[in-house]
Amino acid sequence: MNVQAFRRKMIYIGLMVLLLVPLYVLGQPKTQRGGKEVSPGGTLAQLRDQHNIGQAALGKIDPASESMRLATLGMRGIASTILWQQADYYKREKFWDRYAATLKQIALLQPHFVNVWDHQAHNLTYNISVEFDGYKQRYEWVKKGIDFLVDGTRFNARQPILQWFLGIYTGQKIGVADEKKQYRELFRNDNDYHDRLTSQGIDARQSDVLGSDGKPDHWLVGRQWFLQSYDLVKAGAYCKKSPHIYYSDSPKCRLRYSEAIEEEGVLDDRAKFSWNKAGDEWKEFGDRDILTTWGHTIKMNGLLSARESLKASLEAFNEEVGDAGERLTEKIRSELPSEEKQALDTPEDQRSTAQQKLAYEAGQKLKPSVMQIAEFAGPGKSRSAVDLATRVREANEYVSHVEAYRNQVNYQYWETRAIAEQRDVTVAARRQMFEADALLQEAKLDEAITKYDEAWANWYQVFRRYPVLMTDDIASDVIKSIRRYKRILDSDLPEDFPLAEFVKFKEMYDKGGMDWQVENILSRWTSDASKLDPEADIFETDLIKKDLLIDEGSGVMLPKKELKEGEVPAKDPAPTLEPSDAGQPPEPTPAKELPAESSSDNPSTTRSPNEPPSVRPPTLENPSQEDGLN
Amino acid sequence: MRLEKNQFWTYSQWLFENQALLNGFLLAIALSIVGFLVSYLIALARSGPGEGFFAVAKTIGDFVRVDLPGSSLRRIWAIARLAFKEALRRKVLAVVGLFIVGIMFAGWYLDPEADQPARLYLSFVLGGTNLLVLLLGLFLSSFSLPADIKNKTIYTIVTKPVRPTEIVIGRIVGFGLIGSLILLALGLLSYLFVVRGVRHEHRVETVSQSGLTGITDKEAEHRHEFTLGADGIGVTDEQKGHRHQVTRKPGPNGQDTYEIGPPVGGLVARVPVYGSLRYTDRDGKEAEGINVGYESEYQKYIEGNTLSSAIWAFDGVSSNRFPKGLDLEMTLAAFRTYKGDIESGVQGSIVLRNPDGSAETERTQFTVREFQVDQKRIPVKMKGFKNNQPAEVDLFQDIAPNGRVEVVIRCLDQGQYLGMNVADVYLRAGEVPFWWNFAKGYISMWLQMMIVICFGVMFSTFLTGPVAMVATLSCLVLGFFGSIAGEILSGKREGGGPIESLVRIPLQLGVVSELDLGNTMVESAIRAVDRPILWFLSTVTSAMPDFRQLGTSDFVAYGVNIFGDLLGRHLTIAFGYFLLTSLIGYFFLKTREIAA
Repeated sequence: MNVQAFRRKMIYIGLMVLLLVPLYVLGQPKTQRGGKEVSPGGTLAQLRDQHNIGQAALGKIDPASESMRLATLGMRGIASTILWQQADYYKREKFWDRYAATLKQIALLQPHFVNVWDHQAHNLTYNISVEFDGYKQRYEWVKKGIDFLVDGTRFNARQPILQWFLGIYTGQKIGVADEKKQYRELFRNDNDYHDRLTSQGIDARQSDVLGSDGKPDHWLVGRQWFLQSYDLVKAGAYCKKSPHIYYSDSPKCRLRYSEAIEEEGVLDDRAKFSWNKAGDEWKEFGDRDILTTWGHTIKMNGLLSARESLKASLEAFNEEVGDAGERLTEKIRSELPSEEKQALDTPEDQRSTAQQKLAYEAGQKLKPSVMQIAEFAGPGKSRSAVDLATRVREANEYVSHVEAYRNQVNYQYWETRAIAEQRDVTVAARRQMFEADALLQEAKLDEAITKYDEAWANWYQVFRRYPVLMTDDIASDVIKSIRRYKRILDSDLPEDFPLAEFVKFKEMYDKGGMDWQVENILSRWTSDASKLDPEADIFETDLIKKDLLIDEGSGVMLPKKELKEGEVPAKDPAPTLEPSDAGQPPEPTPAKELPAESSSDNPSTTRSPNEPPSVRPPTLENPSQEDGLN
Repeated sequence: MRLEKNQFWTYSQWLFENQALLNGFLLAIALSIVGFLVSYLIALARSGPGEGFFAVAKTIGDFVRVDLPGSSLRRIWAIARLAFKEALRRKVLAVVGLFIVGIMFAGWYLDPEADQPARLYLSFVLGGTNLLVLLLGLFLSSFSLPADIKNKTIYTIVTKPVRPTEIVIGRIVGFGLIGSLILLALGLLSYLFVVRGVRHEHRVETVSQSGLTGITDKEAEHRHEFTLGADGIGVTDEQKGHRHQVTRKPGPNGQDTYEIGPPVGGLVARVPVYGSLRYTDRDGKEAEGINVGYESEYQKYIEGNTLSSAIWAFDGVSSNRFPKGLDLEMTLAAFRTYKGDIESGVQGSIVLRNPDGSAETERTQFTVREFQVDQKRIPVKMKGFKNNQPAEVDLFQDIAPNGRVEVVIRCLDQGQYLGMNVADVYLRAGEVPFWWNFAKGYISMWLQMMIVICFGVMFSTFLTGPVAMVATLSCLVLGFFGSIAGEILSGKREGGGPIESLVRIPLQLGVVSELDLGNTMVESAIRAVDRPILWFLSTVTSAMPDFRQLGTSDFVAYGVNIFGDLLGRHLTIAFGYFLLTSLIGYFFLKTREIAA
């Protein structure tokens, strides 16, 4: 019996020793001496090094976190599940302090689980903060969320997504919230938080984050977080975000900052300077190589050259294939089934539903692709034509990719905006409107009207030169100011009101968004504006004489009657339209009343009818005034 | 803090009107019958029907005739001392060391930036202590007797003229004694930890030119603004749940100095007088409050700028109790349906009125302060209406001549809502010292520990050590979480029984999703098996002490005086379980003696 027991023990010991060998091979730690690596360690140590997932490589080693994880004795999962449930309960029952404390415990248990930091920081910043009625309390909870995320960055040194979120929370949560005015004010005067930011790795006293008043601005602090994130990516970390969105955020912070200070009344060289910097940064972003989901890189700024390249390829292709395109179209047309032919021959407004469908299908067939044309070109030209067709197709795809990406980040809008906002006329328009609003608040009505009149003239220039701004927030602000102006007048807007067409456009835009009519108008105006000399006074350009009208029924742009030199603009304006362009003159529509504003915006005093306008009245003929703002 | 309705009951209401006495009696009867039947069945198997019955009857008879009247306090004390020494030998005092270590590193886990650090510190120490002493009670009581029986050292006792009653009670007393000493030590340490944790000093950092307003320096992650009166005395604003008194004193060089006192309001024990609450709808008719869409229905809401109101009725309002007027304290919630004015909070109004409608005060307007205690002083004399005529009203003569007053709260902003629960508005009838409330919180913990010890000793009379521990732990778990079984059974809670849960876990099916195994037969079978298990758990739970109800940590943490009635109830419950477990323990020990 004893011998058996002894033998058994010896076998156990032998097995243990045997097991130590693979354990040693797997688990031997890496050793260093004098900073030099003596041994790379076992398989696990090497794998950790290879994938940079060693505890030290992941981030800060925190004794609280380590001891907590050890204390759960391998039941970390269960413990964190219970804590998550508890946190949910506290949130449901609004025990905010306990909720925040539980989140800290969860984070200590799962310090390298990035989603914990992200999810709960979002909870604190966005969901919990709004539970408080006092905006100061809300602001404190926004900061709590941001601080929570900052803690996350310490534990996760190579997760640029956390810094990216910090940029979003610091910038957007504060700057886009309903209470952004109050938040921004609190932030810039929050010296204690500025100190904390400095301890968190963002120098809140550096010139790059100081706003126009010399105090830290949250948009610029947010930008710093984005830059930190970019640095991490540059150092080799991976960020799971679309590159064009990801890299647009830092320059957008600068753009947003410029926008914000103007809203707050900084309407001088400081704003222009800021827009200048923002424009430069936006351009830098445009020059950056962006990896697309199609596997190739694009540049946001590369649209023009891409289009030129497409044009050149197309020309080369057309030269190569000659009239093959027309011939192919004719051939397809001749081979169309008789019903489709009949549908095509029937005038559009007389087609039945079935014919509309057939005509559409036939129309599609009658648009052969370049590759079809190349193959049709003939045996002698076929090979080079196919090569050229491939180039055309690739160039076309490239253009569409660039356009798609540009649209996603609103590239053109911001590019134009940055340029427009640097113009004296834009700054003046903003300043005059801001001052007029302020004068109105002080009940200085006559002075307000004068300022408004100055502003309208300048806004007219701005919108004609940069039509895309008519879709911006500022356009809504202008509309609000026009309403105030109208109330001061206590009458309809003057016949020669320079922004009458803008008002119509805005109504259409607000009603239908960017539908094809609005887009059409915008592109026409943009096309006209692009032909202007950037330095020219818009009142001296041909554009003012060849103005365009919007037909309210169709929304189509109609050319106005060209004014001859010295001609006085018509005061009563039934438009005289060229019969060939206009067809039937637009039906007058009932006057539209803008939504009422608060009574505080409706002072009873009116402008004297005999008082001359203080600024040059625009020479814009305004035949649609009766349909405009009444 | 969530105050349940039953926590407002007075002792007599609880005992008689809400049938606590009857329930306890029925539980005792039910357990007696079950105990008798089980004992008889065991005795029947051992000795046959006649002798078995005789044996059981003899045991009961012995208890009534011999053991109970013959039990001696001296012997109980001797056993208790023995248990005490034994526990000491088992180095239970190490628990204190463990607690000290926990407190030393508490700073790692506690957030000094919390809005209410005192509340957080108190929750931590009270929660930690509670857990520790319950586990202490569990381990102390479960292993001792089985070890004695296993080692046969029990015979050194039972061979002496010691009765089983004395063994059981002596053990409970002995373990209770050592547990009490440890709890006392933990309580003192906790008190010091909390008091030291919230103590801090500020200095004045900037003062306005007038010298009447200023800002303090930043200490303990906050700073205060203060305003002084003409007499140079003032208070700071409330930050982190406390304020400081500020006093201006003339300095030697003509420059004033400012003294800032210690924090006030962080560690308090308010004595609240709660009332009853009813709501009216927008037409002024009696109604339920509105649910604005929150998952938690603890607070109901009233609509702004309508006749919708929340009406509290308070009793016992007298000039003796409230000589300076009524101190009304509120923790109301606001809910906005539109943005409104961001900088101004949602507005409300308070009117105090005589329940018979003969007099009411004028409207006191307030801005809601969420998640903090908002204090309003209602003076004894104020403007108001008597019989619908403007007049000066006296709080005690006109509004509450019979000691009963109604407090009507309305929301003034159209489209906005105010939320409240019955406990969200109360009259503050002074304070008790914080240390005393803290001590009462520890008394609650002590009672819980004693109940666990009673259960542990009871189980250890007939089970081996580990099994007794598991059984006691099960009682503890049921006492904390057993109500879940009943809630699932009644459909109040999502999810299923143990078998269904076992199926759901590997399938990663959340509790809110339907159990869909593609076979209704199997699903029905699972539910059919689960139902009796849940019923059994629910029934057993109803016989267990509800440890969640016995806890009073929240009262201490939220600065609310623990009502004497509530503590009295807890004492009664603990005593009831002591009697019950001692009795069961006695019979089991006696049975083992018979078997031996």
